[in-house]
Amino acid sequence: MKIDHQQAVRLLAVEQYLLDELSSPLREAFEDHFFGCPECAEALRIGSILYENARTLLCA
Amino acid sequence: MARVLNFRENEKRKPLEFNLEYIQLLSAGDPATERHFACHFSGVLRIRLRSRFRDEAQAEDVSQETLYRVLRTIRREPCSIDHPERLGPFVNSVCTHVMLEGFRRESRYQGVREEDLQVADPTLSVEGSLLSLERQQMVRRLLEELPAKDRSVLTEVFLEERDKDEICEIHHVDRDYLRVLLFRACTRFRTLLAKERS
Repeated sequence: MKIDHQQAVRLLAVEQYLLDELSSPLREAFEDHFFGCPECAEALRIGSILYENARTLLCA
Repeated sequence: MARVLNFRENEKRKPLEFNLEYIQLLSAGDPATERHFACHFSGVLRIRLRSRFRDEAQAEDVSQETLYRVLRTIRREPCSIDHPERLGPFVNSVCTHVMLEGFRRESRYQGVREEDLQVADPTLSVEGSLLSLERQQMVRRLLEELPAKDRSVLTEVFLEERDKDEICEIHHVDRDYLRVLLFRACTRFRTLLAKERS
């Protein structure tokens, strides 16, 4: 399975990845995609920082 | 596993294009390309590995070993990268191999099952160095800007104390709503981060 950037955007793949709700094949395809996609990599980076800071703040 | 690369975490990420020229520059040891390679791939590897390892040091070892093997492949004569435009998926596949080797080694010596190692550690920091009071204040501001219902939903998503289907049922929303809510929060957070940088 392959996924291109348009598909990733349409699927909200970044958000699904962060929410851990992608199926295994789709997850693997999206990982292949974002390793080579600066836009998705940056969106994931921002989302991860948000997640981690939110957890730290809310758990404090 | 040896630490082979150093990079500045906050180095501005320039747009990248993986092509033959990029591979050649990397092979020749061009410092800017090496920095770009380390910065981009360390970032995506960290994102991928955070869900697979309890121990941050283990994740870092896998990341460094992956980068080392990819660079070694690129610098081998003749270079065995046939599709430079597929460098991203190639790095991802090397990472998978390194992880599997590690899981097998752990299983052999410690009797640990692979699935035990594939559980996310809720305390594992993705970008530990970026955690800061300022960013937590940004998150607080972001949550306070939201309508009460969205704030409750997002808070529960972040805390991960409840199953997401349960969160949806309690708040009478569907999974699409969660995704869009997270998308908007990420977009807003990106704007706040950009303001901070400027």
